[in-house]
Amino acid sequence: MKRLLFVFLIVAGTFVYGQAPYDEVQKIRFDPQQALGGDVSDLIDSVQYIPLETTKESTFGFISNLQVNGRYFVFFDFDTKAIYTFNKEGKFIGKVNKLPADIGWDKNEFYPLSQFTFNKNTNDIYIVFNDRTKGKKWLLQFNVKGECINKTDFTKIGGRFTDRFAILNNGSFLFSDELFSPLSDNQAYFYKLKRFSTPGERVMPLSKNDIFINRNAAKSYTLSSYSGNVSVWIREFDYSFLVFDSNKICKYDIILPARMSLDSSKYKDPDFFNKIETVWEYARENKIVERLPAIGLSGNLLAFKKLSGTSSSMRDNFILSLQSKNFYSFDNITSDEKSYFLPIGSAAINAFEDGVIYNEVASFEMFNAAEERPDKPWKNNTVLNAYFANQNRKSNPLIVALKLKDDL
Amino acid sequence: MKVKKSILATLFLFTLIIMNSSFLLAQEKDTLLTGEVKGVIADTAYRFKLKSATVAVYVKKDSSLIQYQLSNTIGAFHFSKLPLDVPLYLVASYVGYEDGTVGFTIPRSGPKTDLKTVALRRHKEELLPEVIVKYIPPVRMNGDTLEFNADAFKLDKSAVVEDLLRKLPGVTVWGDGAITVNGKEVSSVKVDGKPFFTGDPKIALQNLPKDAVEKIQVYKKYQNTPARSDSLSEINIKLKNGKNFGGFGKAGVGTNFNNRNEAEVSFNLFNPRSQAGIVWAKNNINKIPKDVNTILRNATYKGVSNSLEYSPDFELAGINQSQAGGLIFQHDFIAAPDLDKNNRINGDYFLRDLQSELKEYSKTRVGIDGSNYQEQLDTARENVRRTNHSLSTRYNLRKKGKLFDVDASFKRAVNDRDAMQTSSTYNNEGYLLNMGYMANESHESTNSASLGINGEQALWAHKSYRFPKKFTYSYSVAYGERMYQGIRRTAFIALSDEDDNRFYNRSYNNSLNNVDQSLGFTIGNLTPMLFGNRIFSRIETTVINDLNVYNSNENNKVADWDSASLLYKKNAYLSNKGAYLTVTEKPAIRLNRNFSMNLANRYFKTLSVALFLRGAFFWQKNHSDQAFQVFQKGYSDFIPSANVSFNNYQLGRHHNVYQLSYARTVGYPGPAQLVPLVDSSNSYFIILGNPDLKRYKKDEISFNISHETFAKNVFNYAANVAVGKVAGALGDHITIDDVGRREQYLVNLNGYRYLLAGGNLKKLLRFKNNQLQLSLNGQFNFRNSPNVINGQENISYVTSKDAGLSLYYSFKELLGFELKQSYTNYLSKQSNALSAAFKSQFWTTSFAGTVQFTKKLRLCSDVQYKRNATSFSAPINYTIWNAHIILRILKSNNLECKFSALDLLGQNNVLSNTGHNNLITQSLSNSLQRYYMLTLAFYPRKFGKADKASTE
Repeated sequence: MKRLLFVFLIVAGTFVYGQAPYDEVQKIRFDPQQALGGDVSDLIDSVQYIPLETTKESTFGFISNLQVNGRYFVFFDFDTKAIYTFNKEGKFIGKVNKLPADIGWDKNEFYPLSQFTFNKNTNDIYIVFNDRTKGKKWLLQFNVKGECINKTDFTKIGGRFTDRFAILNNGSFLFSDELFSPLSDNQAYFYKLKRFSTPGERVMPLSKNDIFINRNAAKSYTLSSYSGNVSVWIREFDYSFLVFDSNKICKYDIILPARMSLDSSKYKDPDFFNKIETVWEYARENKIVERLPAIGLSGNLLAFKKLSGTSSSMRDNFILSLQSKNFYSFDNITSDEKSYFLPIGSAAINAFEDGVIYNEVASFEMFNAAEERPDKPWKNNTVLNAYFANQNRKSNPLIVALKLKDDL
Repeated sequence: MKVKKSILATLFLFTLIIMNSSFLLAQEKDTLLTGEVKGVIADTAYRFKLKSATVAVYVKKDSSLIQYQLSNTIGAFHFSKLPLDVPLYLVASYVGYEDGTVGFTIPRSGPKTDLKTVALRRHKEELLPEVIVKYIPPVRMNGDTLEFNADAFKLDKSAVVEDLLRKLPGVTVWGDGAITVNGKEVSSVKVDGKPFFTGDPKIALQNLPKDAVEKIQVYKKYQNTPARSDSLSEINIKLKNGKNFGGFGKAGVGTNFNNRNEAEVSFNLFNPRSQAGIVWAKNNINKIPKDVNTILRNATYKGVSNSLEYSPDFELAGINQSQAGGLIFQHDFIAAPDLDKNNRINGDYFLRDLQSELKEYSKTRVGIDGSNYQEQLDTARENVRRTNHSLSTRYNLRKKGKLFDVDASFKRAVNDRDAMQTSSTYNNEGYLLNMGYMANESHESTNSASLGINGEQALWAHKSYRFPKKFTYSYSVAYGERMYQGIRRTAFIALSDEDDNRFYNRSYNNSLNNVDQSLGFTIGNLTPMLFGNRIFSRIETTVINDLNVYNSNENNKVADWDSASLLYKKNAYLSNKGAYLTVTEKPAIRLNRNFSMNLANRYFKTLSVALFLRGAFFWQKNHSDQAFQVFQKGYSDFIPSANVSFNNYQLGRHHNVYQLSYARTVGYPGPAQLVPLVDSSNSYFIILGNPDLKRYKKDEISFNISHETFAKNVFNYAANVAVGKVAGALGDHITIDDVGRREQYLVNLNGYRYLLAGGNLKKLLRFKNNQLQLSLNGQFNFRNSPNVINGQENISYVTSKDAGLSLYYSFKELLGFELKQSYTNYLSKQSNALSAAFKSQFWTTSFAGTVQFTKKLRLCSDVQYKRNATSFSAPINYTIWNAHIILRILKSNNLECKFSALDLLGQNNVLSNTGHNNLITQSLSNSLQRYYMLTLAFYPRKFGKADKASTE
């Protein structure tokens, strides 16, 4: 009996202190309906509105894939099919709207541009392009002015193609196993590449008991956000965040209410679970959460979305304090005098970097809101005064920077 | 003229008095409403503000609703113009929360009240849909649908849905019955997601009681077109559970206790799956319905407003007695249909029996050459009885990836006619050239049946992108037969030479049957399959094909009276058996490319370019007992068309559509133009054939523009212009002899050109409870029509213009006035015929008004001043003035007593002017004249289960 108890404790201890290879595992309960809110003054330290310069060259439609560092905003616009760079004061720096023709790129292929990665250390923009006609894979490097400064053929690296990777502070690249064909027993979930020309170091060997790897598609982790050495990875119907912080791997399991998550019996049914199309169809019919993409992780604060199907709104954007376990719905944050009673976001949180949320606000929304405030609460803000005086509803959107309080 | 001026002046003065009284009353009320209240709606437990929460203010004493709004983006609300020193209460509601109620009174000493935070608590348990909600918020955003809760609006017990719509912000009910929501016209009004009876909005809006309605839903339905902005606004009337079945109708009878009578019955039942109605109407006051819908939409509970539709038609020639009836039904096989899911069958049967007694006097001037013309005077009398049956059914199926529609109809018409006409013709010097007489007795019956099938099938949805994704098909077949028996007696007496006299007594026994079949299909997009994914990938290629086969057989038995044997003897020339067959095959390839230029939150612009490369292969074969009628011809032509359209949607401002099109069409002459059997029994006008006729080709370029404004005060307009020419147009070759006879056949002539232009404009001005609607429309047509008159080539320059302006004013439901001015002008000049042009002009100035004195008493009146002038006769002016007093009695206002005075001034005339190239005709017919009528009508109504509130 004592021996049994001893064995049990060892096994239980293994589960309690994290299953290898994770350095830490946390379980967090998350019911979207219990999300908190508040006024801007309650949750935000500072608010800054940054109008983005409107010229013929810099006019764009809307922001997607916004990536931010200390100097620049870089994002893609699906209306004009180009990557734009603005500095932190809102001045237009440059844009990328085409790839070199000698790599087989057609001007109608804008998707590779939309999946760009911004190197927040070197300020370079990386675009990965797959030339299917010649079977080649290219990594293209652009500067913030939009000039192509380098192109690397990495066809020999990995048997497959992916355009999602994190760029670490030491200049190496972190990929998931999306890039590599299954090798024998040496396959891992992640690979670190120092250069794009040499195979990389394996990180986190595959677990053969992982039911996700038996799926016909969407079996790998995909990059959700990254900043410096911190990257967040997710998988479809795996309600967890895998966080790489330098050499540390932490896993945060999100426990959703039963009504919006996939039932455990479904995971145990290979006929159902292994075919991703079936799972998607089931999820859409039953309004089940498919994935939780992270927008950004900064200190103890994680910004993420809850996605069911393809459409989402600000209601599906949340901020989670990994310390207090409080979570807030961004839709429940109300503009007040600190933000001049002006809009603080549109359809989604665009980026979260160094504790600051960056959101796009359309000029048409700004002017509509301003019309309702004849008292002009922003009258002492020179940037906003100039904006309302010189711009109009058709001007470029603004970016609003909201510094979150540390004690959420 | 004096009478007209005084009547209009009196009515105008009366209107001014009523309008000023309402303004004065409004102003007096305004001084008491200066209170303001503001606050914020919040979920204090979870510490956030509630946006788009419904907030409403009521008077505590009687719970009457004063104002309502949705909270803004920071959860705040602000009401102004509230009463002072009156106990009020505010209710805030939000989905998933318990309602919050706050009582308050705004003191005169401090008219601005701040309620600070109004906290709402979440429901403790998840609400089930069956939970009865005690409080009904007036308005709610439910996703993209704006929902207005009917019970939140207190209206009169007898109010119908249309009365509720007039209360809703952003919704405009126009004078012509159209409905717009924030400037965009509503494409359809549904009830519980389904068309209501015929689908005519008036039937639902003016019959359904407001108390049976749970909510009015307003939403946009996006169309599957390249322009992202293309959407249709729809209104859905959701009925309350337990009120989604019932019946309504009308039973009315009217008489002037002399010679004018009318009777009307309509009875309709509906439940969640099925609808059925029966109608019947009989009258001898020129109220002639054309289908079941005409009777239904004019038998609504709300009754007649300013509209002159389905009123005794004083412009209809003759005295007409009409009896009509019909059935309508609809059944849904699924409980909750929507755009993508539908399984429905509906149909209707309509029978109309019309007896007309017509007397007509007409004068026709026919231009010959130089200053020579002839003038023909005709006096005609005709008694006709027309009986029409029409039965049609439709089946619609919609499923994911599939669309299937079947239409079937059967029609039968029987006409019995007894007509007589006397004519005389004079030359331009006034000398009598001929006299004539024609008498016709005939019996004609036609039967037709048709079946149409349309379908759309998604293809290879899971397969390679290379395969086309959609296939559409259509097939229709129509069978028709016509039987004609008649006797025609004519006499033509030429004063100059009795050898030109002609007398006929001819009998006809003709029959014709035909079958018309069409088969069509489209399949696309074929570009990936033909060219791969890269080459021409942005150009969509669709293959289209239309095949038509038409087949007819005729058997004509014509006989002439033989005075010797006193029998009708066969006319070997005109008695004939014939068979005619045509095959038309039109294959086409459509190439289209769409360019989108979008800038989020600013504009959506789409440019679509489409090119149709189409061929037309036409083959015709005619067989006849008469050898000269036997022929066979074939044609092949290339008939391309192209279309460029630009759609510019500017967010929050306006939507413009520009379209430029080019099309070539071809027309083919048939046996009737090529080789007809010439019946010379009508000596005045003999139609000959021309076997050398060829097909004509028409090329047309058109341009259309439309503009919609998204503003509180609507401003929409549209314009179109088309120019075209016809090569080898079928023009008239006319020979007019000295005794006034005309022979005519068609010839191919070049030089036919035309210009068509038109436009309309709608502007709405709203101020407080007043509404002013302005509508303007115009049409301009010009054509160069070549013809040959007595061997000389001639070109007729024909211009016609139509213009109309209407101003509609309304003040709540109490007053409604419409002022209309319309003008029609026709001008025909000949290049070498008459030096003076033929001209006709028609003006109408009308004023119609409705005054609701009390909830039960209404006065309607309309005055029309008409002026008709031609270049060869003195102008004729007349004024028609009608008035109705309508009294509703009984508690539910469903017994109506109406006294009508029609054509009070007794001046009605039915005048018409028609022109064609070198001739113009002015006709005066007998018509309905002044009468008075007393009408009683009862509107039985029941919605839901029997209770005192709903059974009437």
